[in-house]
Amino acid sequence: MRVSCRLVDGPASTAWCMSEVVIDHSVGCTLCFAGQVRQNNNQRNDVVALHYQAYPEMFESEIKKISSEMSSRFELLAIAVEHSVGEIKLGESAVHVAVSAAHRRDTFSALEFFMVQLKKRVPIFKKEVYSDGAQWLGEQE
Amino acid sequence: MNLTVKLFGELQDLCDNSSIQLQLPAHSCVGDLLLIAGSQYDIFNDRVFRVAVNRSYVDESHSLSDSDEIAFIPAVCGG
Repeated sequence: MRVSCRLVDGPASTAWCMSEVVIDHSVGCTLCFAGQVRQNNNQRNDVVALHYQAYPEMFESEIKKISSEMSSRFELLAIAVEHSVGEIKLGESAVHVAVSAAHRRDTFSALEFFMVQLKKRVPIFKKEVYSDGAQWLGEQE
Repeated sequence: MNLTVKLFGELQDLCDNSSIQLQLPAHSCVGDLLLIAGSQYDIFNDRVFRVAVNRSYVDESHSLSDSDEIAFIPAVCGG
């Protein structure tokens, strides 16, 4: 399974992920997830932005480990992950994840598996920025 | 041995630095590292974080060496 990942300074976008997972004519299905910054989060409704920080070297190694686990569970051809660092404003995307396979069946489960593992293991840190301050967030579902 | 510990997120803000230097006896383990860190920086006594060595999460029994890449990982929150 081909694995591509990168951190970008600013909002994430779909195009790179999709270009990385359509690897050849064996691909019959691609599925892409996007996570956006929303206004109401963590029991507040005045979020104006999120600030992301990453441990870049471990970001890459942990994603490769998760992908290795995925390759034994799901029939995938490729996965691509683009995650933001720095400040991301309301409505902008902080993460895009695309997977490809010959058939659609495994792609939905695989994407959900990846997002759960991302939130548990991949060293990305998130600070919510409010109109009157900011705070680092704990682990979330 | 002289070890550098990378800090992230809340830990980086609280220490006002992206890393700290700690001196440990040879053959120390992660548990020893946490004791020394807590004795020099109070914040490590009342914060929850994981330890990564050479880009993998480890437990307190993990042995350390001079060349290890060490990081204190607070709550991760990607996506």
